[in-house]
Amino acid sequence: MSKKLLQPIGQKRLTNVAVVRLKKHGNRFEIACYPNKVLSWRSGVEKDLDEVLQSQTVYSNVSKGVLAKSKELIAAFGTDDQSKICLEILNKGELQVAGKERESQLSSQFRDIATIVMQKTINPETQRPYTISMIERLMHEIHFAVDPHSSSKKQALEVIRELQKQFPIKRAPMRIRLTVPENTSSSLVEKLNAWEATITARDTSGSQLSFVSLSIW
Amino acid sequence: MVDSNVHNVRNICILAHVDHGKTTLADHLIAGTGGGLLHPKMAGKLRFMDFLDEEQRRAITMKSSSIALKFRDCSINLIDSPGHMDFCSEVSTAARLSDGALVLVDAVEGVHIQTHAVLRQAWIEKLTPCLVLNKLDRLISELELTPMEAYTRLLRIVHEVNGIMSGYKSEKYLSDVDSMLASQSGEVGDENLEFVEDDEEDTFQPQKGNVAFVCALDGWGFTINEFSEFYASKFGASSSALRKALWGPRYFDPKSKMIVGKKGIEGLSKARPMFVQFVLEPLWQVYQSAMKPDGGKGLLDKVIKSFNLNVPQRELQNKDPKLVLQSVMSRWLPLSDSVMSMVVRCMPDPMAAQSFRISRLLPNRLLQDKVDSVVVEEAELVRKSVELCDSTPEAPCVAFVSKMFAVPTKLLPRRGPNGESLENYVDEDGSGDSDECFLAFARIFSGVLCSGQKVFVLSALYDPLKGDSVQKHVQEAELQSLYLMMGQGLVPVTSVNAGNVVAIRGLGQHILKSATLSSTRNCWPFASMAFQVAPTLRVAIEPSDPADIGALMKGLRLLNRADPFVGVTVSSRGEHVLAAAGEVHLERCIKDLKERFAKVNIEVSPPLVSYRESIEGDASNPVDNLRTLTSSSDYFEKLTPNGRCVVRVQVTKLPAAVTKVLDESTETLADIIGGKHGQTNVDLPLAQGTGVLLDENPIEAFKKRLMDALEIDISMLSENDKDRAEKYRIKWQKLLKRFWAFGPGQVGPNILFTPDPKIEIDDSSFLIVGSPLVSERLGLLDGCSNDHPPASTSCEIISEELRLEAETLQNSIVSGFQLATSAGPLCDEPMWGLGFVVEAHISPSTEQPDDPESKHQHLEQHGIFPGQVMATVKDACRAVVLQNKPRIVEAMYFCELNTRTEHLGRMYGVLNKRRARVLKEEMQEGSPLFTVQAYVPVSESFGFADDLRRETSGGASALLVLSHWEALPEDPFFVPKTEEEIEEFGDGSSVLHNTARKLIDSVRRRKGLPVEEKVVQHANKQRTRARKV
Repeated sequence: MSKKLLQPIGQKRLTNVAVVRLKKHGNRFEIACYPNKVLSWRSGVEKDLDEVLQSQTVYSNVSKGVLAKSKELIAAFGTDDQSKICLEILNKGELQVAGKERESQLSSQFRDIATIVMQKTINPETQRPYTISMIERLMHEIHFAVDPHSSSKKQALEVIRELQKQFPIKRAPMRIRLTVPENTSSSLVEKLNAWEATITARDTSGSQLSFVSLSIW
Repeated sequence: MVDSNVHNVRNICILAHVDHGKTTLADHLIAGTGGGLLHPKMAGKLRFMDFLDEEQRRAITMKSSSIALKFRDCSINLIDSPGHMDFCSEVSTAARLSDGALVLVDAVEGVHIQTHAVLRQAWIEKLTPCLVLNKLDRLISELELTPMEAYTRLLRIVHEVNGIMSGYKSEKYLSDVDSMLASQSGEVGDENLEFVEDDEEDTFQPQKGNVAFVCALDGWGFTINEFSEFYASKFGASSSALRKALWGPRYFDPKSKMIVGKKGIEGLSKARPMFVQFVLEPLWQVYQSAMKPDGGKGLLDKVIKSFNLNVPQRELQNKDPKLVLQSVMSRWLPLSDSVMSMVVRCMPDPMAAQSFRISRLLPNRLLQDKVDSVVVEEAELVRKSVELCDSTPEAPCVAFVSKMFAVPTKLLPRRGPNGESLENYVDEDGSGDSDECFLAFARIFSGVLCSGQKVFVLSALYDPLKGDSVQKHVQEAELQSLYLMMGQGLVPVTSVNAGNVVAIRGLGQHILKSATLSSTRNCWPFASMAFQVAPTLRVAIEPSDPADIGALMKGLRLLNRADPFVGVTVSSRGEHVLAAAGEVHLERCIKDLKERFAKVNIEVSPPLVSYRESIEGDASNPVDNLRTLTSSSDYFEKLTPNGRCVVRVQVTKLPAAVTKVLDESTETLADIIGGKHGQTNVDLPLAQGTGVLLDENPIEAFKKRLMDALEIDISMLSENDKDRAEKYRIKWQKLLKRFWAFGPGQVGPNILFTPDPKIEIDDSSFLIVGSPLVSERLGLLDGCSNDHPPASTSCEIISEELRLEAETLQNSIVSGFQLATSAGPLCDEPMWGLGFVVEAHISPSTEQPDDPESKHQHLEQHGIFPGQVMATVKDACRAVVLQNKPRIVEAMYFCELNTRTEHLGRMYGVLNKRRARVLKEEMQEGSPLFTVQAYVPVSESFGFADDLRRETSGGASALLVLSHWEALPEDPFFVPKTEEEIEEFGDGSSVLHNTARKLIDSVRRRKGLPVEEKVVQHANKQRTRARKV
């Protein structure tokens, strides 16, 4: 039995760690967390702290295993209560977004955009909206990539513009209710005609004339 | 081919469970009598009637198809039908057109579930059934039964089938008795007594010759008649006596050479019934000797010699004993001859059949008084001639189209009946440039149909008494050409007599699925066909390329026409929903769409389910529900961003009855509210003139329904507490005058109430008083109480200005309410059955109005402020719903299931899995069937029918109808709070989401709304990410 004793090799230490950093008072503080968990904690979905933090200790360098000095902690946070500081770092610190988190973020935003596109467009042949799955497929087809930093609505409007170039898709007409005094109504009607609007209902009550119009643009 | 003599026509269909050999049997009948259409050698292998590629590939029949055969001097229209459960609609269409049914039963497998179904179908359509026991050879070669065992097996099958039939009879008997008892006070109809007489006799009796024993694969078959005649000539006994003796417990006593019953024979255990001794044993011997490797040629030769068979030596010397056997057997007992002679002998000709079936085809109508007697007389004449199957040219011509089927135009025959070439005009069937042509699969019940004739096409709802008013149910059409169907082939003919089955071209645009054709307007349409199941498998389909949507829609239209059993609808979300009977049926529909009708690529997905959002309402305590509206305790307050307007919202649950009324009368409401008030009044006299029964005024009608609904609600309460009921009634009477708007979309099941005018107003702010517009429109205002203006004590200029501004803001509040109700807080689905009170107080702007700068600002604000109010109202409405125990509401199907006792348990298992609520379970009297009624959520209904069928091995079939909305009682945000709850569910962090929450989450996920879910469930169970291990 001269051979070396066999160690278990199935488990690799320190690979399931995500580091959250906070620079304060000129010092860097780190805590060791589980990957894919920090954003859930911040959004309030995950309520169990032990599922987020590997240990309730503050490091100055996680990968080397160097703990933060309590003097620095007091200087920076005004306390050396590790668990309180951990919470602060967890909420304020910067982190690398892990793969699955990014994936779920992107896919949910992608759907959000597709929903907005669906609500705002129709198929001109049938005068009905496209289905959500169809919109999603079309978005894949034009190789649309979600930008996580800009709003869904803004991107949806861009997508519609792109889609219109390639597919029979149109912005859904908007239903507007206009209330105008009687004497100015003729000029309004002129304007509406110029925009090729369709007046769906017209209601005169008192001195005010109120239109409900379906305008197409 | 068209026989003018009606007596020599037989219309039959072949019905059986899947894989019991229908098409093989049809093959042999064609080979034997089809006049060279099919070589006898190929019979049983070609499956002539399965001409579709898909049918050949899967080796099952999918479409029923017809062929005209000639046997001796009879012409026989044979319809082959599918046996698979998914295509049972084709069985219905085939059964309607024929007079008799060959019911096949596999001798090895016995009676199966679909056998029950086809027997029932034949019974409903009043067909004359003949039993065919197939695959006898498997008893010999596969199961290796002795003749005696085989006999008991066959006996049992015949008994079982007879039992099923007598079950139907007694069921009918019981229901008739019931109806007689129900109407006992009145006269007891004579015709109701007809059923009593033929009750005792079994339907299928081999002695009567309506049972055949066949082996379709080897091409032989016999009835008792064949053998009785043979032995009659051999023994010199009378064949009728032998016929009676050759089935059942009759024994041949070799000593006395007498046929004796059970008692007459001694040594009963050894004796064999005559059927075994004289019929089965020779067969067994032939088979066993032929299959023996050393060749029992001697016995075969004996058979050949004794039956005077003419078998070519070449075939006898074949190495394969199976082939030798086949060639001998098919000459000894030719299948087509025995089956066909049974058909001719036992099945009625169209005349007899139609007089028997008339009560099913054209049931007697209960006529009201005061009808046009001319029309009735003529309709009666039509009925008479249908009953008599009158084939004289003078008789009114009546035909029934049971289905439409598509044929590629290029397969239509080019030659007319007299050899002249036909031009196939391209653009006739409404299908435009498509190369599919629709033919109607029809049977003529009376008169003569000629090509080029003009007929009326009547749909099932047509009523000749109503005359011109119901134009949409009757059309006039010209028949372009008539064809005799020869399986796939079509033979053009000029005219066809009553009692025949025919394919008609030129009705493509006029008929959707089935219709009655008639030469006169004054004819009742035939009763619609009975289907065993309803199409319940729903999927959404869409083209892969959105540009193809037009092609897809056209394809769907064609498919809808070509298949009697698909449902095609377009949902409000723009999905095309296709409903099919089962997986196989759906697959075929999709394939047809892809390759024939639409020719585009298609994506298939489960359709979207819509939900509603509501709040919890305690049904037992509606007064308290209302109190939340009137007292100002439980509200939600929100400020506009510029701080000038405070919005205070309260919400209550409307009584269920009121919600239902609102839900159902959206169209009337749209008319009333949408300002078409005057128009409906103008239309009214017109509608009355046409005889359509309408209430004199839709508004009045709606008002009445609403009041009734409330009355029901109140009466429920008043049973236990009169005092509170009275209070409740008064409160509602007040509320009725305060309807401001409905939502969403101005007609939905939610109500916006105007704020209570008696609420005290702070001196600094001003309440935006809505006008009860809807109440006014509905005429709910009495005109006495509404005309006191809001008493504003402060009569300053600012107040006046505010009042104007408040008036302009009214619209914003309504819009905010509409927005909120169209997208609720749970998952952006519309709200349902809620009443809102919105009190918006605006305070004067802080700046002095006469300051020019601020005036400028004020103008600027004018554009923004209404929008802010709108958004605030919307947010407040949504927030208040969240505050008041929100609930998710889902659509429910009403589901009726029929099943036999042995499958009951399995069926309940499926129902439980699908969250179904069982309403009622009862046994159908006189039959072993149970009927179960249940509510199934729509979201759970996908694959429900298939699951059901799989679990119960086809024993249960469901029928789904959209029924109502129902709130899930679960709280989607349930967190255990009390000690008991914590004990039961844990402390909240690890509780699994309940059903309501899961539904909400799935919708939110689909819409891309944020969902509260952890990306990773267990942090330390993630994979270690090392490069090398």
